[in-house]
Amino acid sequence: MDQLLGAVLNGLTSGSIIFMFAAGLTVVFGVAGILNFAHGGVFMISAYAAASVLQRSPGSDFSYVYAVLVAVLVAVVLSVVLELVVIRRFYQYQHEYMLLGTYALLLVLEGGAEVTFGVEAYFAPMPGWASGGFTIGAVFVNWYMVMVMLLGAVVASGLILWLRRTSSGKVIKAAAIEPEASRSLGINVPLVLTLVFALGGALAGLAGVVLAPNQAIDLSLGSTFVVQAFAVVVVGGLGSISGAYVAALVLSLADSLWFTYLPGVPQVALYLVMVLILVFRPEGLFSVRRVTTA
Amino acid sequence: MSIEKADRNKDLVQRVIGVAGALAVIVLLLLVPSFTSQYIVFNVGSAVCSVVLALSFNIIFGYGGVVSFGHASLFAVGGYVAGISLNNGHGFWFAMIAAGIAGVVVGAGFALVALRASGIYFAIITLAMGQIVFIVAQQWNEVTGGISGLSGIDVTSINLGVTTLELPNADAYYRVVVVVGALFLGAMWLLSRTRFTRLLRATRDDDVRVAALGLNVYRWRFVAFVWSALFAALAGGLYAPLGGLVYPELGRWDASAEPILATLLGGSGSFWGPVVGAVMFALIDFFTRDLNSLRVIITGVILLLVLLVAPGGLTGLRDRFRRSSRAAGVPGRDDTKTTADVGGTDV
Repeated sequence: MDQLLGAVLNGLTSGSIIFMFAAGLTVVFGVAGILNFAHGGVFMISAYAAASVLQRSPGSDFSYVYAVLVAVLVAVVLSVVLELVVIRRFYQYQHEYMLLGTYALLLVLEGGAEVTFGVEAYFAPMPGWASGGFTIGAVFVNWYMVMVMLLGAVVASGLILWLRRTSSGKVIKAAAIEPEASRSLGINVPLVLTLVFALGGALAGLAGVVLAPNQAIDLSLGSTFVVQAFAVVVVGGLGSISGAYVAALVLSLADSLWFTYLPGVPQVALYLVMVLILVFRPEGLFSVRRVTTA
Repeated sequence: MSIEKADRNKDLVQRVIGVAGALAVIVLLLLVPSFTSQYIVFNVGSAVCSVVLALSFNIIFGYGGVVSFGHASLFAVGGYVAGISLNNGHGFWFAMIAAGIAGVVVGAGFALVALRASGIYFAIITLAMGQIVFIVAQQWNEVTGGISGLSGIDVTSINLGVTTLELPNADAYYRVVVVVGALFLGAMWLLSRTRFTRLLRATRDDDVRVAALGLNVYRWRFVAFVWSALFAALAGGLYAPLGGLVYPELGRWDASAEPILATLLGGSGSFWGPVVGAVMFALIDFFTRDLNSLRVIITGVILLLVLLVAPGGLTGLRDRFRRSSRAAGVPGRDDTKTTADVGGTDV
């Protein structure tokens, strides 16, 4: 029982982090039609930035706030620059070509990260308050895990409410569905796209800073996450926030349960469950076409 | 009709030049070991395998119009199966046939799942299935040797029926790679001339119309994917004894990006595009090998430039200059099609 609870909590924690990453990916896909490999590079660089800040002043609670600000700012600036300089030119191409274009960007970002941060892994200390916690039976739950799960739920519900209820959310949907008509109504569509990339970047930065204290940060981080997040957004239905949330939790739970109960067997649960779901629903759980929906 | 006759003569001349050129390249490749180091010989041999892999990828991409993001895993399947066969004392032919069969079986599995979707979903599903192969190769220690891979793969002789070809050293096996690789290339060239490939192109250009004509688009794409998987696995089988080592990263998703990028670099619109691209890619790889992190940056920037400046690839660029009337097309976003159409000419 304790083993099961531990596996479930671990799955929900890592699922929440993957969701925050995948949310940025799926919002950008829904509006701009780009499945963005470079998102992984932005996320990795913001995790490095967060770790650098946390290493300077370990233990101080204030440094964690500072790390969040730095990571999100770095990710937003990087995403906006990439959109303005390169990605903008890909909009005319088909999805598969944009996938390759952003893959090339990921290579550039990975190389850039290697030049800037070196090949040695970075480790970020856990903030003092996050190491404490409580026990359920024999399972110790720390505040870090609680915070990550809550943050995932807040991001999911916040994005869903924003897109459904606010006028700015509706403008974004309009720009995605009918760019021509939106333009004639005075909506600055290119600006909307840039802002959507900024939002995607902010989510990547948030995921980066949340992940930082939990694992070693190295150059493989971006590509590892982006591939898993692709699985998540495709299973969820490209462009669907709620789909991405459900898929992130389901796939991470499968991964965590497999790891706990089938330790000797290759860790293929995430992709295996993905394939099984897509056999029955080829367009994902909550399939939508090129529109961000709640 | 004299114009038609002149055209036919011109075609014949071009074909003779083409065959002579191909033979010259093969002879040149066979001579490589006599004037370079072992290291370069290995790299050239790897490039030959990459060319076969890129061509196999283009069967499903260039003709079928769907992007497989898991092709390197099929290469790895072939490499592992050939490696395991050879390490268990089986001969070269057994290993290659086993690699081919494994490629067909795994490829059929990929196609069954992935072809239920198209476009970007197809790309991501093949990516995920490739990752399954990678993770199994990495973690099934007893069979695959785990992270360190499978080493000591060697071919010492090949039974040619009437006689036995002895392979005393690595250079000798390199020559086998050149000859067998050329045979695979020839087989794919023949495949590209068949009615099958013309139909496949039709499904790429307008799958709705082809379906309306009563053809089963799914079945054609399925068969194309299996052909493609067969040659990818054969390329892997041929590669395994070259360095004597196969390892999980051969099948990881970033390795799958290489045949795609090679094809885009060279141009998917012609048969020779992927060949040019794979050679270019091998050259970039070779000359940037000491640059560490700059290497990935350079590769990324070159790819971006190709996508932005010459979306039809290098052969597309050539065709654009050669005949302005059939300019190399930019792969535009067109909602009526689910497939990529790039490059100006059909071979």
